[in-house]
Amino acid sequence: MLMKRKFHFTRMLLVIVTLLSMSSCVRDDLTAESQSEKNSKNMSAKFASRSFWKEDNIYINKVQQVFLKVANLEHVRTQYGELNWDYAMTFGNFNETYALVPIIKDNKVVLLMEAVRTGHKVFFYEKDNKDLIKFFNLAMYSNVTKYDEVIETKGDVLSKTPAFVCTTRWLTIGCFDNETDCVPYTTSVTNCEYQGGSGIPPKTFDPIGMDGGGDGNNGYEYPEIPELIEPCVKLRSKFTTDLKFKSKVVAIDKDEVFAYDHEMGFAAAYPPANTNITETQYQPMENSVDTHNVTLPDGDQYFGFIHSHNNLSQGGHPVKIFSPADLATFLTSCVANADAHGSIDDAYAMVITSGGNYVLQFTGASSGLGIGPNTIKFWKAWYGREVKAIQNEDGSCDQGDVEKVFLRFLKEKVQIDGVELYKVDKITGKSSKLGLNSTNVVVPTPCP
Amino acid sequence: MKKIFILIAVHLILFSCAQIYPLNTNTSVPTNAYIQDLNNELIPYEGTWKGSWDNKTFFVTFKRIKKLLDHRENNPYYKDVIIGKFKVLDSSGSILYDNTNLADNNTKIEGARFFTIPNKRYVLLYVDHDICDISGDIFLSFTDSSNTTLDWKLMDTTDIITSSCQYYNSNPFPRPLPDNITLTKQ
Repeated sequence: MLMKRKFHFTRMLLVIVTLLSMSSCVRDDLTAESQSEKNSKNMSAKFASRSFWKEDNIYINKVQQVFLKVANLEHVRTQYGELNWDYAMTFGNFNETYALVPIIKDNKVVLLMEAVRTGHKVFFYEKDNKDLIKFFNLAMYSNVTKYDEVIETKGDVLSKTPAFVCTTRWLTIGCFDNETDCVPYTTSVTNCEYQGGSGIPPKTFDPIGMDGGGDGNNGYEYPEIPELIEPCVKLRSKFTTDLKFKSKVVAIDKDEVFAYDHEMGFAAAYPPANTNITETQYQPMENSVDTHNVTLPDGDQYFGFIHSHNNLSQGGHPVKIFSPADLATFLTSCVANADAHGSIDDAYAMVITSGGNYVLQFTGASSGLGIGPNTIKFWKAWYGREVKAIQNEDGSCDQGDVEKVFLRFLKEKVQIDGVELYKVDKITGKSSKLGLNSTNVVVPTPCP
Repeated sequence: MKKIFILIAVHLILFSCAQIYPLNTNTSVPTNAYIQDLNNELIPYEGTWKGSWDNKTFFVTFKRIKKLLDHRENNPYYKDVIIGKFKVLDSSGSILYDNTNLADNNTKIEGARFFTIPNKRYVLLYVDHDICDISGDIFLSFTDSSNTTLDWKLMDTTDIITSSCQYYNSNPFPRPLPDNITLTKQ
């Protein structure tokens, strides 16, 4: 019996030793593989972050997809080196706007690729900053024993998007076992990213290898823009889940309504308090007596309105987009009421015309917008003069020019962050956010 | 030396002169440019005009001025425009509206441009800060060859009124300007 137990014990010991030995081999293999991956991971390999810090992995992943879609990898390897996406860093930016990707040659970081998203485009630039390159080399190839970071965000008071993100990251480098005369030390680097800033453009990183960097100067199409998702979802839900909203739009979007000698509209109100009513309430917007104008009903429950602009009036051509008064009503009534009684992003204004249907939404954080007693007068002066300039010899306007002048009005005169213009296709119901590029060309960005 | 000095002076004078553009210029112009009524097309509109409307008497005085248009930040320019000041009397002669004392550069009516199709019309912008910034486009066209009668049409561009307007519940809403009227030169 004793012999049998001893035999069992010996056998068990053998199994344990074998298992331990195998485990050790596996770990050695893993370590070796990991080191190898660090140094020469193929730039088309699936991204899996190895950064010590929290990064915007969604952005890095999407940027890699965009990059791989357009890049000539052989050209990139020859011209720059191998991109290591796993060590890409977003330095405190989590709104899918910014990343630095290390580029490896002969087992060291030689350059960084900066990926900056502006709207629906992502731009690639060369970042040849010695301090940052040294920092990436330490992060990837040293014996890091400790790390830390401080993210400083300097927010814009009117917008949810921060204007500045400055991040300082620290690394403490220890010694390898075989190093003599080694003293551990700590180093740091600070990187600031201005959100939406302008200035001297950095050198374009050319992933294609064509003259002028391919499309680099115009950027590359970025999928599913995050800041578009929320307002687009809000807009889509009006058409898909709010049947009353849809019926009001249908009631207005008719040739006979555009031919009226007065405007027509409905105002959207929060459900009355202390009742069982949960649906949005719609009230007709009455015309001011003896005028063709509409009125927003009195009360602070109104967070939105839908109204028409006519085709002709006294032989003149009304402008088939929002007027300064529409915008002022949206900002001073709808946004303020939504902020006070619901959520500020509930606010909307819609204008329905024979030239197109448009919606205003607000993504700013505050309803204190500084619209004073003289603001509308100056807005009307700007708008009146500039609209006159785009009219044809018969007083009509080309709708593309109308969209452009309204967007210029928002950009040059109104200058309130968070006011967003959407165009809703009359047939498909699909929406696009309209914006201006740097040369004031209207750029539609379809909702995802 | 004297010749060089004269040459430099001439150049300085030439360069300091604002660039002049004809009245039908509707594109952007350089800062301090002058869109000038070179053919005196606006002169026939000048003067006091009168018409009757809704038991009211309407007087409007038009005048051509060189106005600084500074609505575009960093791109001010000058333009010859017609400005309008008006007075409205009720049937008993009492004054309903009178802005004839406003300064020329701060009138409620300011000319913008000509339209030529289907007929020649001069369009002016109206913004009334005293009545909740109500606004409109005024179209003027002569109806006789001697330029003594004017067809006046007003397209209301006010668009929307909120309860912050002191006339929100007024019945009728204040309307100083006629929609459609024939004016006679005084």
